[in-house]
Amino acid sequence: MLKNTFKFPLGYVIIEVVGKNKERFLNMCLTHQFRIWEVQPQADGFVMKMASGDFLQIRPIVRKSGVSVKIISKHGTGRFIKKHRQRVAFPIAGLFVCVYFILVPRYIWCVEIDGARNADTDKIIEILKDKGVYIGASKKDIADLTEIKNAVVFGEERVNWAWLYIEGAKARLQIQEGDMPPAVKDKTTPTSIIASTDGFVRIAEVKRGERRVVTGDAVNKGDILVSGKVSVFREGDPEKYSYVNSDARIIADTIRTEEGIFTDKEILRIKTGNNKKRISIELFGKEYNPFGTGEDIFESYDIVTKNYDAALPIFGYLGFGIKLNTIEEINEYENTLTKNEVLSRAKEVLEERIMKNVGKEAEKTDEQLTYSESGGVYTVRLVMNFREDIGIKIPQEE
Amino acid sequence: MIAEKLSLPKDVILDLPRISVCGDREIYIENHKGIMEYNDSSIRIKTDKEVVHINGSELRIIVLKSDRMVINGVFESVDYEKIGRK
Repeated sequence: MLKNTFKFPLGYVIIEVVGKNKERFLNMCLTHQFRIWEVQPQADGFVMKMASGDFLQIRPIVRKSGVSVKIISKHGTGRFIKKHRQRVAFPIAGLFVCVYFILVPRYIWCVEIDGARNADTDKIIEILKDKGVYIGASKKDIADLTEIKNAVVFGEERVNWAWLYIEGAKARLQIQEGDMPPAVKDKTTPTSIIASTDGFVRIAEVKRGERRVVTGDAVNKGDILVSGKVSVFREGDPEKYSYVNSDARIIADTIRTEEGIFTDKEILRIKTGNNKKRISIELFGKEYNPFGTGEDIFESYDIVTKNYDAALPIFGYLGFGIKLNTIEEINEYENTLTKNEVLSRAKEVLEERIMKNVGKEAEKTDEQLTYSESGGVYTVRLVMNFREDIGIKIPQEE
Repeated sequence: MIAEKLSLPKDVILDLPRISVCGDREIYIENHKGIMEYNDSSIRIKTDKEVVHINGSELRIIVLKSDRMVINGVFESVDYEKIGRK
């Protein structure tokens, strides 16, 4: 198939060779380096394919070997054009294809962002648009890729590295996100430290600011632990204050509680094995469903999508592609969980909620899980004891 | 002898045919000297010192060049005949 595709443009003939010395004819063709292939024996001769250019030179060989040669059919571009010259649609279609291949890769028909996890893609798209990268933009107007890279990296702070790849009619921005660097600590703004939660103070080391608590004190959420307003006057003198950026390590025993309602029922989604396939067409970044989306076939379903972009080695993405959507039927079953399963899941959920509010480097010292159950509905309460830094900074008004 | 001593490929030194058989479906022959007989069930190919006789059915020469050829079909045997003896 592939070989024939390459041989077709130059043209070839299928000939029948009949005669006593047909093998001699073959050998003479080989001696003259004629291109012959697919030699098939017939009742009294051979049928073979021969390059059109070589066929024009076989007359002396035919005479010498004493065979008779008959053309069965002719193939090739020239023959094809001659045969179909009356058909107007062919040249028009050919012209359309040529224009398509010339014009389409000159413009951007699809903008893709790869590698985005937390980055604001809408913002990145806006930045790209400002730099001339948008659907319908001319590729020749995209001048400086380094400038685009810098605009993205400096415009969206979550992006550490970026590069724009132009793949045919597709502009693909590859980005690498990085962790946000910690903010530079401000040590000049006056601040006080207050308690983030109720607790029983175990360690109170004050480096800057006026101490308000000592080890053994019980504090409530919002109580001032260290004040940024420091009195700098002697008794009897006029009041005078200095305002500082408080710094302290206030470690306290705390109790954190979360409560939630959980049921012993869960819905399981299990594939039945039935599925339907629907093809949608992606044309210049927009999706069309000529055969329907298929979402009304099954009551419950999952959709698995595979993309096939049309691309050629030199032209790259050609501006269209197909999507194969597999709609998989799902049966939903209600499953009843055991008490232990409910409590285990409830504990995970409640623990996650508590841990969101716990200070850094907190140590868990104890936990208690209690519950009450009524008709498969569990009211679960998780109490966790920590030893943690409860101080949080708030601005101190001067 | 020389080829063996120098560890050189014999097909190069002695101009022997190199024949690769792929199962009973395809034969690739290099260094042939022409076709002596060709029909649906038998092909006799001349080489430097002998004739390679391939028997089978539905034999087809798919590629035919001055130095190599590829034959497809269902092969039954590949025999060697000394030149001058049939």
